[in-house]
Amino acid sequence: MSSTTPTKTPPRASSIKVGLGQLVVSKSPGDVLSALGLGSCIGLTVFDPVTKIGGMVHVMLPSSEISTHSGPDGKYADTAIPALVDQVSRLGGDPSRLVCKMAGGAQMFSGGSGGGSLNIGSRNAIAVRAALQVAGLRLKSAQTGGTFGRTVDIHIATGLVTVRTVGGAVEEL
Amino acid sequence: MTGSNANDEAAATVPALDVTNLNTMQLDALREIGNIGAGTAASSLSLMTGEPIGMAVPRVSIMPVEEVGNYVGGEEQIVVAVYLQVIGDAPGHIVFVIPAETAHELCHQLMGGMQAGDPDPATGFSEMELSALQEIGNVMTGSYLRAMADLTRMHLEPTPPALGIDMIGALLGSVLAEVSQSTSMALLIETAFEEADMPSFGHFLFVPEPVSLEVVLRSLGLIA
Repeated sequence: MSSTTPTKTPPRASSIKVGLGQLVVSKSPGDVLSALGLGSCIGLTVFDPVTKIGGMVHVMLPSSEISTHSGPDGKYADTAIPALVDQVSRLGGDPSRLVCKMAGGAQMFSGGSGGGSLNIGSRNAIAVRAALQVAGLRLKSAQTGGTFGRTVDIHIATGLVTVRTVGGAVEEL
Repeated sequence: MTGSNANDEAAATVPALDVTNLNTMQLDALREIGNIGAGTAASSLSLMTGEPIGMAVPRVSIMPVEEVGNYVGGEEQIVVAVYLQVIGDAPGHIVFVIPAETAHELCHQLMGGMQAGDPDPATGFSEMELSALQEIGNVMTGSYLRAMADLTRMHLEPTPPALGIDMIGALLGSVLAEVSQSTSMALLIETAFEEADMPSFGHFLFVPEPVSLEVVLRSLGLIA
């Protein structure tokens, strides 16, 4: 990989990885935003069907208040949702029209020390719902919990959101 | 506690060591801990399977926790991960990751041709294979930790290892979420294992809590 990657979005379909704690918004019809392998993390997508502006955030933890440690806005549910709404608005999206969907929040480890302490997944799902409510947004659909990882994509051209799991089919969310 | 800014040298409470500001000798010492820990773990596994297992020189890297996922990459690769927390004098996190195919092969070696039984559709591993993997995880993480405790003369104990089989991004992301509750910067001591007929073997990640770094380095006489 060259270190001088061009920053301009190519006109053709391009897949954009939304990593841990990252927040990405787009109005390029060719873009597909992907959160690969969500475990306890949540992939939240928003889409304004009129302007066709969408975004995704990859939330790691429920609240920025439980730790004094910083990080990107997308890392915590309580800061991620306002930041996502703000960025979508700046691109020209209307927050009142946003269709919100989320997936993730699983418990990936079993046995040992995995059961007790690693319940971040369900806490994340609850925190994202709460933060959406605070922002006045409604959740259209969700697929959270379970003990398996998920990859979530949003196609900016159509607003289509898909979820896939290991050994499972691609499902529309 | 005092703030994170380095201020008065004579401050009564010492702020946690800044992981971004370690000197070469301290980094070398951490690498050596990884080396000895993983070396011991590799020989334990070798004894179990009867196959020689080698390892690469450990890498020590420091980065924001949320960048570890990108750093490791291959988010959708299916792996077996064993996760445990270290408690005692120097708390931290240990993750041992092996690609699924390698895990099957290891189970095969370990069970010496015994029938593995029907695989569970969700994981692709049979009940017997799962217990074998749990045992491999126990032995490897246990010997890693014992070697480290001997070296630093600290009291270190593992929590019972937890097992996960899925996309590496999903497993590692969950561990990183756990880690990021106590630190925003992760220090990784990473060792790759290799076996002759398995091109991609496994990775051993040790992430000490920020407070532990100081304890570990002090035990080795590397902090004045």
